[in-house]
Amino acid sequence: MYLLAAKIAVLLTVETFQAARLPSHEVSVWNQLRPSVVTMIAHGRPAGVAALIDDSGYFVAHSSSVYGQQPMGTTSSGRQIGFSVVSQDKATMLVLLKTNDWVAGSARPLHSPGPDESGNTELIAVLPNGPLRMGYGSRHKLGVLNNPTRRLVPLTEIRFEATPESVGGALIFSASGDLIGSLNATLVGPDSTIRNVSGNNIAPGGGGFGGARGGPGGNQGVGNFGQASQIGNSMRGGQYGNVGPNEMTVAYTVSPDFVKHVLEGFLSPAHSAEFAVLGIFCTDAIGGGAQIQSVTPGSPASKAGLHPGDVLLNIASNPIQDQMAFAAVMLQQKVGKKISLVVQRGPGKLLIDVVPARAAD
Amino acid sequence: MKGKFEDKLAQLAFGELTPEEAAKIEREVHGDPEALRALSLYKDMKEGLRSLSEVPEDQFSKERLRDAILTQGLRPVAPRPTSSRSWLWMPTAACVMGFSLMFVMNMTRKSHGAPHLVIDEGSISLGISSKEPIRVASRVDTNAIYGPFLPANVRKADTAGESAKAVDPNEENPRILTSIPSDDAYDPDLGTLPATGSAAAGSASTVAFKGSTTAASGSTSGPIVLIDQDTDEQTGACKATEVGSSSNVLVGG
Repeated sequence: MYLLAAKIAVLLTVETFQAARLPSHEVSVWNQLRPSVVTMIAHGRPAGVAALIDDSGYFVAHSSSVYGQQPMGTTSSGRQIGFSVVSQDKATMLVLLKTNDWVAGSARPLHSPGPDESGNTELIAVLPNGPLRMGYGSRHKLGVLNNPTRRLVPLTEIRFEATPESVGGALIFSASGDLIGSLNATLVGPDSTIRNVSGNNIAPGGGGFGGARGGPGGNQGVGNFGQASQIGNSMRGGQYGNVGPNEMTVAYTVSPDFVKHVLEGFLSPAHSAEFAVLGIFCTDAIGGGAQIQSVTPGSPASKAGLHPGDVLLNIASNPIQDQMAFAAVMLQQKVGKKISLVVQRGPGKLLIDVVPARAAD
Repeated sequence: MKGKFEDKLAQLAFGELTPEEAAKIEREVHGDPEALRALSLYKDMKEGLRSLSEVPEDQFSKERLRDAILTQGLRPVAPRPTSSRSWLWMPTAACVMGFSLMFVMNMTRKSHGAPHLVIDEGSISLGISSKEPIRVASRVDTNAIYGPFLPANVRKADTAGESAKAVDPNEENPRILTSIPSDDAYDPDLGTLPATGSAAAGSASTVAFKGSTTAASGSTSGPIVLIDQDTDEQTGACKATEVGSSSNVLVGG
């Protein structure tokens, strides 16, 4: 017990130390966020953070921050609260938590406003030991989950100076204090080498903690971060002896509009986000369209008579040029609402009506 | 043919006779095929000689050509005159190629043209044992013939050259039968339908992903990010890799 209290005290001290190195505007944003953020504890150690999204005690956290079905957390005032896992969205890796220990009105629920059109380039990532300054890379990336679902997820690329600490699962907020998402993945170079900002290769593992996780285009836009992370510079300057601009890490979070949809689903009576699917897996078709490679038995596509080899040319009046367009159009469909598909099968074309179902994940 | 008469023919061809003499010679030539051939030959010779008159005079002798180069520089050589009928070759060839192309396309369409409806044996419940698909000619009203046997959610889209992109899914079509019922949910991993409660269609919401893709135009751009389930030990986040081409990326939906 005393050991845990000591760890939390150290944690708060580091947090204060880091916050002191943020620019004044971001410090004020962080001070507004702090009451609404809970540090998740696992095995006596900080494991991540959770953010309040509803005053009735609903929190959201990245799955890497949640251990077990009854995780514990610590508020900014040092009060411990217990959670229960309500639901999880595999695409965003966000977990909905519920606590009965929350006092309504004690903090402001955080919201995801959807696309960040403010033009701000700064972001604040909240780690268990405090905030970290980040910046937008590209707001229009497409990602595919490399798991059996093969789901398409729109991504936002973010960049920040490499840190010695684990950043996975950090919650990311805009400069105005809105919840943008969580840090889901970091880019790994194709040859597993680590590059610094000048493009020089450093042997893997030989460059200390740093290293831009620069794969293709990994060094692009570095110039936008000339004022990046004073925290990182200061810490590395004293601890590691590095001077000047540090290596950049390229990371990804699910796009804010996608996160908004998930949070809205979390707060719905079903406590889960719905995504419409047909139950097919496609690749790019020669000559245009999405070619079906496999059909899930029992899925709407199977019941509609779609076969492997069929080429989707049009979905709900949206021309389909490739499998990415297919998946992107499917993200816009509603569960239970009939849509028409134009399918090329051999030399002929068929018009097939199908009702998308809800993805189980 | 006498030599004197042949001289007259040459003079006629070169326009050296008086009108009276020319009329007289032409009358004599009119019934004589050999004289006609000779007259034609002389006229061709005259045309050939005329072409020589268009050769720049500087090219008649080396000395004059050299002087011209020194004083004026080189002048472009006038194009050689073509035969009076050579212009016919180009449009004739174009017409022949056009007819040939139309013929080949027509033959191709008759054999396996695009506007055919192919009905797979699994799509109709007629108990047909043949493994060959049923091909229906494009001008046949397939809905009238096969409509009662087609699955409720399948109907002809592109017969008689109808553009598939012009199909309006919201259009009320009396041939469209009731669609299949909605599934509550299914698991793409397991291919099973969990026995969960029905998801009300009215509560489903559309996800508006404004900036993530150009779904409206049906195209995507930029590299695709593959997100692995493995965790990067250095950052604690999942590993991501970028692939430049998405053509072989399998996507579910």
